[in-house]
Amino acid sequence: MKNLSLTSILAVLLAFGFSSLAPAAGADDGLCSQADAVYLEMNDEYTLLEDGSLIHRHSHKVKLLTHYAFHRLLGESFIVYNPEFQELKIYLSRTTMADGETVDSTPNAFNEVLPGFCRMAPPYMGLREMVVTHLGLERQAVIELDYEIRSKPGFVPFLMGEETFASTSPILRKKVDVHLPKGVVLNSRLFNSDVEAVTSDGGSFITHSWTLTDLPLVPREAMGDESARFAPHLVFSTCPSWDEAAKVLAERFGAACSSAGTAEKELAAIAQKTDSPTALVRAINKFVADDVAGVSIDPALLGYRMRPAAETFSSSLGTSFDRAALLVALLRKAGLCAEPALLSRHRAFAPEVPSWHQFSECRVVCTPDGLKGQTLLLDPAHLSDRPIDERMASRTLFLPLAKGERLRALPKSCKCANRVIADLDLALDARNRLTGRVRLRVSGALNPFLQLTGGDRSWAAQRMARLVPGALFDDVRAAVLSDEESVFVGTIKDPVPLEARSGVIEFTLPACPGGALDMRIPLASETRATPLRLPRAVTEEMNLELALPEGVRVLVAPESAEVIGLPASMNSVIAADGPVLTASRSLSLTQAVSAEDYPALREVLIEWSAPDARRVILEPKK
Amino acid sequence: MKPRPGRIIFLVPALLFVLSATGLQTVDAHVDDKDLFHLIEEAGDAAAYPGSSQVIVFDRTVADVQDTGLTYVDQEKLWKVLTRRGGRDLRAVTFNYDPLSAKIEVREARILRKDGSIERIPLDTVIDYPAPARAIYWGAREIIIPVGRLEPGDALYVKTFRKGFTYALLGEDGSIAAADVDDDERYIPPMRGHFYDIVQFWSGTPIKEKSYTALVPRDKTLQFEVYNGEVTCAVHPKGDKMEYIWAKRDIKPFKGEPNSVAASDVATKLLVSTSPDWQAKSLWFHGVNEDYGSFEWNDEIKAKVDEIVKDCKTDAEKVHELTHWVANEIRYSGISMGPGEGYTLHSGEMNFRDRCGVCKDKAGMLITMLRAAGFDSYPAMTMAGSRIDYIPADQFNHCVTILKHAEGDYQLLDPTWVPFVRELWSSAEQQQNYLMGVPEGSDLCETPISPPENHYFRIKGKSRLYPCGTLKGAFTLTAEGQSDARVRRAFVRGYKALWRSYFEKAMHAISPRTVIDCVDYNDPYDLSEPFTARIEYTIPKYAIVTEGKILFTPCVARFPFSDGGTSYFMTIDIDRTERKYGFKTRCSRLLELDETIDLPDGYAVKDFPEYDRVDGTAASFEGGYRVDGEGHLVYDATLVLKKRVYEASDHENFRKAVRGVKKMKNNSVLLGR
Repeated sequence: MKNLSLTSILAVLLAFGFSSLAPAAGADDGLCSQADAVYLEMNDEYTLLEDGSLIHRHSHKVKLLTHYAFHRLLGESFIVYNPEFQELKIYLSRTTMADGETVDSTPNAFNEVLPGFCRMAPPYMGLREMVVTHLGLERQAVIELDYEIRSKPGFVPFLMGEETFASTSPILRKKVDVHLPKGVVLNSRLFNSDVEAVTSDGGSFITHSWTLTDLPLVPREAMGDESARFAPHLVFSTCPSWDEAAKVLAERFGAACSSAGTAEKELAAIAQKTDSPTALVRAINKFVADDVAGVSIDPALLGYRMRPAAETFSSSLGTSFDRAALLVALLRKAGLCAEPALLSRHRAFAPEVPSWHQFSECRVVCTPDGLKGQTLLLDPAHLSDRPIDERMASRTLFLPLAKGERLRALPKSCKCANRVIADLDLALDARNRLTGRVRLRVSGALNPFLQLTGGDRSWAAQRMARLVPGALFDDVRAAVLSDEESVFVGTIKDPVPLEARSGVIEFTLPACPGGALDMRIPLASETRATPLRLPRAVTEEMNLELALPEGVRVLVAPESAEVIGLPASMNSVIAADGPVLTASRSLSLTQAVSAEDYPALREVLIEWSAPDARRVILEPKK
Repeated sequence: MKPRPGRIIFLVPALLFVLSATGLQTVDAHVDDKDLFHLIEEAGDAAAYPGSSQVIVFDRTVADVQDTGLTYVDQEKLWKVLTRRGGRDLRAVTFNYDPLSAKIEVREARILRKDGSIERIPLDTVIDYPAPARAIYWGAREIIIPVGRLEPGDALYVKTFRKGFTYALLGEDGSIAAADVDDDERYIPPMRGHFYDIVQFWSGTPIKEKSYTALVPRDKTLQFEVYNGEVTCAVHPKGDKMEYIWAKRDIKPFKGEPNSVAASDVATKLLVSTSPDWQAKSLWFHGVNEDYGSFEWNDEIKAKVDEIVKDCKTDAEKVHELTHWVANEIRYSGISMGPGEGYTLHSGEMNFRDRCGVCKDKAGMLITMLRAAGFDSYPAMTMAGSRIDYIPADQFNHCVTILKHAEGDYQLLDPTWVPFVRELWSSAEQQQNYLMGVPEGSDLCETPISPPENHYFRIKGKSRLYPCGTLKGAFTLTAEGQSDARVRRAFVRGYKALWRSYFEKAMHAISPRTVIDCVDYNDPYDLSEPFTARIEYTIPKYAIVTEGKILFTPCVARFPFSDGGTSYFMTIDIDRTERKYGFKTRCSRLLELDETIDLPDGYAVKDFPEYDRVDGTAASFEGGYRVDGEGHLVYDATLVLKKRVYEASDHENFRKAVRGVKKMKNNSVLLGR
C-alpha cells in the first residue's frame, strides 16, 4: 500500500473545487418552488490513509430562499466530534450575500460546546460540538462550509460510513468520494438509485465516486418512513467480512461483560422476588433500565466502544452499548445465557457490506427456559411487553459473540398477526342506559403477554372502558393468556346513560383499542410526498349486538361498506333487525404505505372512521 | 406606559437591631460528619415525603459582600436520597457559570452512605467544560461532580465557593474590563459598589432547612423584601459588617397550576439589593451603552437606513419599516463580543455585519438605525414571563427598544418578538414590567393592556346544507395583531413545502370527509395587510339526516383553527373549578364567528341551542342562532378575552366565557320538514 498524503487529497479537492457562486445555475424552478433553501452542491469525501487514519471532509454550498431558511434552518452548522480520537479542521465558513459581498465567520462565530445529549454524563464530557455561526445571512445569500474530521489510527479498524442523498431542501448535486490506498477493497451498496460508482485511479490511491443530481426536497411529513427506505442511501466499508467486523467488537464486549461489579450483589434480592426464569430476566432488565440512566450517543462517535459493566453500574449511567454490557453481565451471573446484539440503524440493510455503521444501538438476546425456546430481545433501557418489541420489526441484528451466523434478520411483524377483536353484547334499558358484557381478544403486538403474566388486569379494564366510554368494568378476567392470543372478559359495572338530544339518541359504534383510531394516523393531507409508516400493521374487528327496549327504534345506521385490497381492507355490516342492532366491522392495514397508495388508505380510513360511518341514531321511547 | 407607584419596602441602614434569632446554622459553622449523619437520620425517609425522590436536608448560603460590590458566596448543600429514582437523578451535580464574570469552585463533596460509611469524592474528578448551548454562544461553562451510584438512604454533601455575578458588563469607568485581568476585578459587578440577589425559598424538592446570609459593609444600605410567604429574618452586627440572616424550615415542594403565572410570582422568594432605586439602575443602563458606543452608525448602516425609509412619507412609516427590517433581517443568534457581553448591547456595526444577535443586540440595531434616521431612541430592559418586583435587584431576561416622540412620550418597540408580526411592540408582552435606560432615568414601568379588538380573529362564512346532509360553503378568516401572528407563525416558522397542511388540518378537524375545493391566502411573509384566507369546502354526509329531520352544527360554529397553536385559550382547563394562582393566556383577543346557512328546501329550524350571555371584567361571550327574514339560519358568536394576565378570581368569568365557545362547537341545530 502506498501512502496517501493530504496534499494529494487536496489536489483532488481542488479538481472538484468550488464552482462560482452564480445563483443556482441550472436550478430547476420546479425543484425549488416549495423549498426554503437549495443546496447548490454537497460533497463528502472519505479517505483511508496508509497508517489507518481516516479523514471525512464535508463541504456544501446552500442558497437561502426564505427567511425561515436563515432564521431557523441553516443559521448555524453543528459538527459533533470526539477530540480524544478526532481532530476537526474548518477550512471555510463564508457567506456570499445577495449583492456579492462576502462575510467570513469571525473567530467568535466558532464556539465549541458540550453536545446537549451528553448532559449529566461525566464519562462523556470529552465530546464536543463545534457550532459554526454563519454571518451576514439574508435571502439569496449563499453559505459555504468546508471542514474535515481526521480520526486517529485505531479509532475504528476499517473505513466505514453511510450517506443519504436527501434533505429537507433540494440538492442540485451531491457527490460522495471514497479514497482508498490501492489494493484495499471497498464493499458498498447504494439503495434506491441506479447510479453506479465511478472508479478512478489517482496513482497511489483509488477513488470510488457517486454523484447524484437534482435531488428533490424530502418534506418532514408526519409518520413518515425513514428516508433511507426511499431516498438514495449509500453504505460502504473496507471491512472484508462480518467475521472481521465481529472480531474487535467481540474483544471489547468480552472485556466489558466480564463482571458487573457491585451490581452482582443485587442479584440475590432480585432473584428472590421472581418465580421463573422469564420473570428473572425481566426483573434484571427492569433493574438496569430503572437504575442506570441513559445517554444517547451515536456509537460511531465513540468508535463503537463500551465501558466495563461494573463502571457503568457505579456511575449509574451508560449508552445503549454500556447498558447492554451490564445487562449481559448480570444475566450471565444469574446463570442465564445472554449476549449483546447490535440493532441496525435502518430497515434498509446491506448484508454484503460489513459495516458497524449500519448499527446504531445495542440490545441483548436471551433465551430463558419456559418460553418454548423463544428468544427474548431485551432493550436495556426499557422493559418490553413482548419477546421482540414491534418497533424493531424488519431490522437486522449483528451478534459479534455468536458462534455461527452473526446476522439475524428480525421478522417484519410479530409471529402472530397484530389483531384485536372486540365482541360486545350490550343492551339498552328502558332508561336509555347501556349494560352488558365485553370480550376482548388480542394477539401479536397488541398482546402485552409478558406484562400480563404478572396478573395485572388493569390493562384489560382500561381498554374495555374505551370500548364503552363512561363504563367501569367488573370482574375483568383473563379467559386465555398466552403468547399467541390473550382473551379477556368483563361486565359493565354500572349502567352507562346515553344522552338524548333534539329527540334522538346518538350511539357511536365502538372502536377497538390498539386499532386504527388509536394510531392517530395523519390523514388531513390529501396527498403525501413520502411513504407513510404506521406504528404497526393491524387487523381489528368489532362485533356488536345491542338489544333495544320496547319502543326504541333505529332511525339512522351507517351504510354497509366493503373495500378489499392494499394497503387497507374494510368490511362494515350494520343491521337493525327489530329490537336488535347488530354491527360487524373489520379493518386490516399494512404497515408501510407508499406515497402512491396513501390516497387509497386515506379513503378507506375516512370511510372507516368518519362520524357518520360510526353513528347510529336511535329514537327513544316516547 | 405608567411608572409603577412607589412601594413600602424594608430599608435597613446601619441600624443595629435584631429581628429574631433563627437558631439555624450558617455555612461558616463547622459541620462534622456526625452532625451530618444526625441530620440525615432526622430528615426521615420516603414515607415522610410522598411523591418526592430526594429531600434537601439543608441548603445554606453565605454571601460576603465587599466594598466594591464583589461578593464571595459559600454554599453548603446536603441531599438525602429517598428513592432509587432519586439516586439515579443525583448521579451527578452541575453548576453553571460565565467565566467572564464569575468563578466557581467545588471545595468539598462527600457521599454519606446509609451504612454510616463516608466516601470523599476526589476534587480532581470534578470536570469543567463548555456548557451545552443553543441560540446563545457566549462561552458559558459548567462544572460537574461525578457522584455515581446512590441508593435510598444515602446522602450527598457538597460545599462550593463562588464569586462574581451572573452577567458580564463593563468596567467601572466604562471601559471594557480586560478578560485576562488576573485579580478579582473581572468579578466586580458593573454597578460598582452595589450588590443584589434573588433567593428562591421554594423548590420542587422538599427542603428541611434553607438559609441565606448576607454580610454587608455597614455603610451600605440594604433593602430587602420577602414575597409570597414568610421567612424568618435576623440582623446582627458582625465586625465591620452587618449580618443579615433569612431562613425557613420544612419547605414543601411547590406545586404550580397549568397556565398559571410564573412560579416566581407566587412562590416565596427574597429580594435583596443595595442599589438605591430603579432610577439609579436606569441611569446606569443608559450610561454603559452610551459610553460603549453601542448605537453609533457608519456609512454602510446609514445607506441601508436611507434605502429602507426612502419611500416613507411619515415618521410612523419610517419606524414601522425600520422595526420590521431589524425584526426580519437580524436573526436571533448570539455570539460573544468578549468582555462586556451581557447587558452591553453589541455595536451597530457588529450587528449589521453579523446580521444576528440576541434580544439586546436586535434592540441595539434598531436604536442605531432609528438614530441614523434622526429619531431619539434608547434601550429598555424587561422580564418576559414573570413579574418584576419593586426591590431593584436585576430581574430582567429581555431587552427592547424605546422611541422618544417629539412630544416627550415613549413608544416601545420589540424587534425580537415581532419577526413577521404586524405589531411593532408585541402585545404578548402586555402587563409586563420594564425599565427604560434613558438619560433622565426612569422608575419601573408596566406595559398597558392591549385592547382585544387589536387582536381580532374573524371567521365569516356562508354555506348551504343539502337534504342528503352534504354541507357546501366558504368562509373567510381574517386576523390582526397577535391573532394574525399566531396564524402567520404556522407558515413563517415552518417548511414552505408543508404550508397547505395548516388548512388541511383545520378542516380535517371539522370532518375527515371535508374536501377543500379551494384555498386562497395572502403571502405570510407580506405584512402589509392582516392575514386573510378564504376556504371553499364540501363536506359530504356532514349532517345527520333522519326521517324528516336533520341535525347539524354549522361549520363556523365548530370553530375552525381552534387548535392550541392558533387559539391557545382553548387549551386552558376550564373544567378546573378553582385556581389558587393567577393565570395567563398569550394575549387579549377578540373572536368573532359568523355564518349564514341556506337550509334545504322544505326544511325549517325546529330547535337550536341557546347560550347565556357572559360579561365580566376578564372576559365576555355572546352568541347564538336566529333565522333571518329570508329563512336562513344565522349563527354568530363573540368572545372577548380582555387581558393577558388574569387574577385567580378572574377564573370563573373566564371559564364561563370560553365554555360558551366550546359548547357551540358541540351543539347541533335541529331542522324539520
